Amino acid sequence: MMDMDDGSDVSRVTIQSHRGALIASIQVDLEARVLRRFQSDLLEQVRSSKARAVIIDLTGVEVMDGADFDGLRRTIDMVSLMGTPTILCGLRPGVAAALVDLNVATEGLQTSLSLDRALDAIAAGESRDATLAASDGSRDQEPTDENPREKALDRE
Amino acid sequence: MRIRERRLSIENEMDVTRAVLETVSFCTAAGIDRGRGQLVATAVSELARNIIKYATRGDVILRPCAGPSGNGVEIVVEDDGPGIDDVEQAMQDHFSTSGTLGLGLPGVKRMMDEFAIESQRGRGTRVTIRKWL
Amino acid sequence: MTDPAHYARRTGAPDRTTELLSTYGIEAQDLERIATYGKLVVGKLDVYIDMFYTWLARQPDFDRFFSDPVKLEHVKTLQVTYWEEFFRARVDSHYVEQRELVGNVHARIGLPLPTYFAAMNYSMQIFLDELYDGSLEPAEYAATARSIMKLMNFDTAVVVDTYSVLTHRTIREQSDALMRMSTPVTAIWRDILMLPIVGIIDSKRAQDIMNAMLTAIADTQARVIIMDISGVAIVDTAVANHLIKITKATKLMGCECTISGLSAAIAQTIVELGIDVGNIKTMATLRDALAAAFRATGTAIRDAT
Repeated sequence: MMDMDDGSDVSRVTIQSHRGALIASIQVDLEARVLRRFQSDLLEQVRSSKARAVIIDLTGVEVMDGADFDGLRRTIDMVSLMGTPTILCGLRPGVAAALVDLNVATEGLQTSLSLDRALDAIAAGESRDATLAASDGSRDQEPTDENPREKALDRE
Repeated sequence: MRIRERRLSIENEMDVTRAVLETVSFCTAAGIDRGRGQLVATAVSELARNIIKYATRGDVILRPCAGPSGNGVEIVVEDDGPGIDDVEQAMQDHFSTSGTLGLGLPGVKRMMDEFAIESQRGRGTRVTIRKWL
Repeated sequence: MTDPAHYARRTGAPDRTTELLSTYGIEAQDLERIATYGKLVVGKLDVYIDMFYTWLARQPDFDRFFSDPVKLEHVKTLQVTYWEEFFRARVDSHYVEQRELVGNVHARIGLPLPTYFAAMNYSMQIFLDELYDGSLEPAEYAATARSIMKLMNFDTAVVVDTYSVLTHRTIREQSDALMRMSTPVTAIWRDILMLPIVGIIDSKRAQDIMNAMLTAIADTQARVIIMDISGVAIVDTAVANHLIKITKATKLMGCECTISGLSAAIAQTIVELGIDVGNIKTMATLRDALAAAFRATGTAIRDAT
């Protein structure tokens, strides 16, 4: 590995835009330089694309330690300072188990089982905000904290 | 029915589990209702865990006792560990040298009818608790 | 609540040995007699071994435990040491440890206790009858025999205690294994899982529960998982930490964990112990937890009319 500071040869995390969200799929080890590159790429895209939300997809991550997680957490905080929420999705069972053993800070994190769910949640949040804006204030459903999806499925 | 004293050696987590189960059955045999028996067993669990956390081994002794207004159970949890430097501080909530909820001693005291602790640095620790019928 | 005698014991002689000596009524005089008698028989330990193993070879279990000649020689050497120590009659914590070792070895190879008792009994016969040269006064001999019996009972007590500790350990390991096999995570509704937990939650069990839950969440794509703890014996700070950890892990996977079956006693202990459950939803009944789960997943149940 060449030691160049412009980071041009550092692995990059791919960031795509889809349905109004920025989706970053983590497939590489988040060591310091990769993380820094990812953060600057992501923040630049958040600024320029006016995305409604960021989704960090961890489906491809098999191993993650406390330091990796901290790095992610800081990235989420940075994005949040720019006024955009982040959803972590696709965390694997083994990784989740290891992270809680390491006692990582999970408070205030938005999470989702899968990329699809995350996208649905963002869309639902969108429609809810739209309804709030358009309506005269009366609502027939109580929003829940955990899941912004509001559609009631009637069953008989 | 006379209940006999039981002494349990505590060296590892399995012994803690055994002590908890023995305490539940001991309290039932002594005539203590299930809910209050659970309180006693929880107290024993907290104290026995302190043994394996801070000392290498210790004992839990379960015995019936008689008081001025009736019968009850008395439990002694003791070890030859490093002892507690400042018992008063340990008896205040949230004190801990290892960053967790501490020794759980104030909680144990609240759950029991009577509570006494003797501890000295280098001399081990002994907690005696009682629950009346 | 100070017990000065107790404190004295704790800083002085090992209390277990002292207690045992007292229980079997063994005093300095007894130990002296045993040591004196020992001088008569210790020189004949090879004869003892011969007689003992002739007898042992006739016992039903012999082939199962002593068929290996190398092992047999090793055992004989250990046995000689055992009796040399016995007749030296210096009963301290080291002596007790050696007896515990015997118990450990016998328990581990699975030698039945009755066989052990029979062997001790026969050994006593050999030492007190076969190998006795008749040189003591009758009264002295009788007193010595009593002392030897006391110390043999002492030894047996230590060995039996070790047996029972090991047996308990085995039983518990087996029941642990059984408990671990039963983590039935059920999909009780679309996107809702439920897991009833029964008994004691120790760190091993907590890990099994967490793994089972997380795998089920990944497999079924559940949004809510209900952990019912009405069958849990006690919740202390350690158990609470396990439960909190589990809910954190499920949250990382985007699934909310609700705890149901919180009894009055457990609610009391949680507060008294100062445990902070934070944002975890807890309920008294499974029914309430289910209702909350329905709300969280946006499901409404209506009666058919």
